[in-house]
Amino acid sequence: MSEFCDEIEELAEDFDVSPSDFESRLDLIVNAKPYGEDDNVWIYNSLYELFCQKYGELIEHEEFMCYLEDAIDDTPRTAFLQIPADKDFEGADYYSIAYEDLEKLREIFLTKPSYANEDYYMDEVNNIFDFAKENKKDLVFFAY
Amino acid sequence: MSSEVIAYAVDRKRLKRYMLVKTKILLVIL
Repeated sequence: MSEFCDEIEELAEDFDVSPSDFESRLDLIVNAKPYGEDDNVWIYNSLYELFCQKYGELIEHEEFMCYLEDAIDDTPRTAFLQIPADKDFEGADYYSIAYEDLEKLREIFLTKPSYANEDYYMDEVNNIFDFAKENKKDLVFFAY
Repeated sequence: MSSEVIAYAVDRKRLKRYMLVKTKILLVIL
């Protein structure tokens, strides 16, 4: 549990805000309280990634797939937790894909970008989606 | 716009359960 506190303190330090800025939003998520207006929606994105780090598995991959928005355009960003949408995308861009939608989204990732027919890109997309599929997991992307 | 993409394999049901249980405990501690 102390590890979780350390993570929050580290994030707060990285972004030069108070740990309480993260804790107060964590409280809203966990206790399903109304979010209200918030100029720092990016903090929710960071918390979402923190949860994925703690309770998910990082998929090792090359660095070719660096433009997430090329595949998903302005499709609303989805999260498996109730977090407010970051309309200005000031924080991490994220996109979550449920296990049952993996093949549908794999197809989109493999056709939409202008460079979708490049071998290195196709290999990377297939590696990531195959890993999720084989392990029967959902998939979450974060882009910076 | 972006330059780095990170991918996580997660179990969304476990994610929600763990997050809710563990962070509720954390918030009590805080």
